[in-house]
Amino acid sequence: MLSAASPSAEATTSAEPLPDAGTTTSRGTVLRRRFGPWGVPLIMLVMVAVFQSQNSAFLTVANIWTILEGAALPAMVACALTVILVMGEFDLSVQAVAGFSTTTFAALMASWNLTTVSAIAIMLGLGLLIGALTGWLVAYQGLNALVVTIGAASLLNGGEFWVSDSRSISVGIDPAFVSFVRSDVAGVPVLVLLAPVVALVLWALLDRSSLGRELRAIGANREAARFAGVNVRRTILIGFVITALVCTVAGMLYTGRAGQAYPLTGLQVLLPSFAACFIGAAMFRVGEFNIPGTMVGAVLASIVPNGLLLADVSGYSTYFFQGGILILAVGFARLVAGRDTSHA
Amino acid sequence: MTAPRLAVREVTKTYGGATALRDASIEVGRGEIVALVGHNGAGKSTISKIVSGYTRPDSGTLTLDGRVVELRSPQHALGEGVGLVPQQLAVVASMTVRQNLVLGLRSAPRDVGDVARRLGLEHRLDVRVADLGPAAQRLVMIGRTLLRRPRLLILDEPTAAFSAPETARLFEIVRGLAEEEISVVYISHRLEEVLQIADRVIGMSQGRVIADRTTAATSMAQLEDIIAGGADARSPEAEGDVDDFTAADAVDVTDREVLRVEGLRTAAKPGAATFHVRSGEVVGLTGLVGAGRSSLLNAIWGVGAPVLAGTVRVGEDVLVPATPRRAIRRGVVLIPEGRHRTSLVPGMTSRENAALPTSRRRRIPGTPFIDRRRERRDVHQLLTELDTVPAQAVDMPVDALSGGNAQKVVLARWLLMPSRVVLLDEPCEGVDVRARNEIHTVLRRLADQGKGVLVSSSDVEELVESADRILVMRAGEIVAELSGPAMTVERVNRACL
Repeated sequence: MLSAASPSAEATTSAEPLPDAGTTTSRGTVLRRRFGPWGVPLIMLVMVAVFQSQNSAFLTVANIWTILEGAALPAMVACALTVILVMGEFDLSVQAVAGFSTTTFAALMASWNLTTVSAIAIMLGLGLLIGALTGWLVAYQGLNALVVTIGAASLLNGGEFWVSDSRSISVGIDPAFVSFVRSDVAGVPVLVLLAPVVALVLWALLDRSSLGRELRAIGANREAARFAGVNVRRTILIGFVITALVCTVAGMLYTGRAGQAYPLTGLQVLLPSFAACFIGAAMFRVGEFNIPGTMVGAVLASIVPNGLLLADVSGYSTYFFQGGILILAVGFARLVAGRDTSHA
Repeated sequence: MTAPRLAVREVTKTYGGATALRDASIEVGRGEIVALVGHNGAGKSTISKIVSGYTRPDSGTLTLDGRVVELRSPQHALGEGVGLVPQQLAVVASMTVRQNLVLGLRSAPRDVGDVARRLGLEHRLDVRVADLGPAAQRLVMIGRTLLRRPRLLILDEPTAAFSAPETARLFEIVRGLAEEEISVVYISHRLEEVLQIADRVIGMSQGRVIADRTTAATSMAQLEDIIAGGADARSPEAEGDVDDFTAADAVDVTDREVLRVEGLRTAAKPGAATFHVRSGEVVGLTGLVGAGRSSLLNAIWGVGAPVLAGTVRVGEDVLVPATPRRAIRRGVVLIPEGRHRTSLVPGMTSRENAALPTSRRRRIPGTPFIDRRRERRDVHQLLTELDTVPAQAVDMPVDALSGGNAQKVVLARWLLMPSRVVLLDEPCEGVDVRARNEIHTVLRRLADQGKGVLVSSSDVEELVESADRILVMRAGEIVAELSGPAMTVERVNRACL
């Protein structure tokens, strides 16, 4: 969406033979291709070393599980966001969808006395509806995705207060669900097992299915996708539905993890999930958003607050680090890709 | 004796391997109106781009009023007094005429009123440009250039959307400029206008200047000869009237029509096109730039300007153009013009690019997943048949391929799709000679499989070599059909005018 300027500039000069994009690669490009993908792991290594030097408790088994468990739900949301970014759109409502899901799921069980299964079913239905609505506005009505999702986010934030009656919900949440989310399987937290499963599903969808191929084509060259017979509008709508569904699932799991719900205190993932996606774009399939990269990015994004906490740095510095990392990630992705393929 | 306003001496310009200008020399006197004529690709645009600073020549010199200049940019050229009014309308529709006129100028010049009066826009200065017709919008563009006080004004196809009175008005303006010693280079395909307005005519063909004569000593027929003959100097035996349509030669063409288009009119062009394509034939489609070839093909395919009237039949089935998917389902595929914009997906490999429209057909049954082994095999086989080098091109990112190879990927994409009719829009644009020959071979092979092939190209020679029959388009209408012995480069070129 934001990188639409370059192909149209090319089109205006089509009267003369375009110089062939031959196989010439400059030395700079070769260096970028060879060493670029190692940038993020290197930064990660340096960060781990710094945090470990500040507090030796950083690299302990217990703390690693803590980091990974903390990264699990943001990683799911980040993977969902990756789907949107891959098709060249934006979604600023991921955090709001997850938050709405956290509160509403709790309210359905506590205030409406629904069984856990039916509450899950209703939430999935709501997630589908939210995604379909934003997707429809963006794809079929041609509204700007940024504005639509900011608007949707505000509506959903308000919805949280409405469904919970502005009260904290702590009684009435299915204890079985809570203990399931908090449980371990062979010493590994359930969430740490679930996040890779979600990532694997979304990776298979984006990388191995025909729908994913179409999503990527839409993101990289929408005009070409249209000329190739892709149903661009329907595919964008489906992309938004998938993202909203995954965010809804992450939100419900957060209800279990927290064991309570209060409006606007759910997952704080908007900035970290964007950071994760852009860090990921500098890895694996360099210059493109991809699920494995996003997963690494999500872990990296949750190492930072943990490490800062253990290093006894004052709480507000997290803001500096998170914002700084997001901008650095965007810049780095662009540097590695060597072109404006990072959609930034 | 005073030096001429503009002297271009032995300028050569190549793009990649293609030579756009070859030792071209032209001169324009003070206050002289010089028309530049020639067929598509003759070098008119290239020379005007060089003179107005949009591109730099490989060799040769440019002299303005006796002073040698090296123009670095359009801004620099404007500073030196050369202004180009390009063919494409470039105005800000949401701004008023006045705002458009002074756009990009640091301070509003005092002579906005004078320029507006000269153009007849003085009462419409505060009208939004969106509310003006295309002719008035063109005048706004001219006015914007005039405010920079040029000594030399280049008008590229200024009358494309003009009615007769509007053209007469423009001519008055141009003559007024000439009286003030402002020189004008007038590029047009409309020969009657050229004869009316120009003092001198310079004919170009294949990057060379082939004629330079005063208009007074030039007749319409001579002008046509300059344009047509120039492109086909090697076949002097080709004489005769293009209006004698000859029936198509019986070259293994069945009578079965696979595509019949009747009275198809789009919002882009005034005319309506009627034609058919039979199973087993390669039909060429040509016309001057702006004749509506791309609009026609895109309309059938369901993209671009909306269809206002007409019917399309594919075999026995009616096709109501709406979306590419619908056309594909009816068995029509289009290899569109401008592959970087309309076909190639950057970041994807050749395999992924080629398989894009057919990826749903290659799913592992019962799953949403693509059978990648089958996909690689299919694409690899096709690229090998198309003689794509290197062999590992199938897994290379498509951005790394040369123009010819990239075009083969696009071709492979649509050969993988079952079809009855194959439409191609400038398939040989920016590809080397070898790839071009291979593409022609593919077209013939497709026809031999019983498909109908319609290939649009502005390269008439290419069509004469490769097509069974050539349709000529003008303003959205098919105005001539040539085949058999009547199908010569010269006759086709004449029919285009």
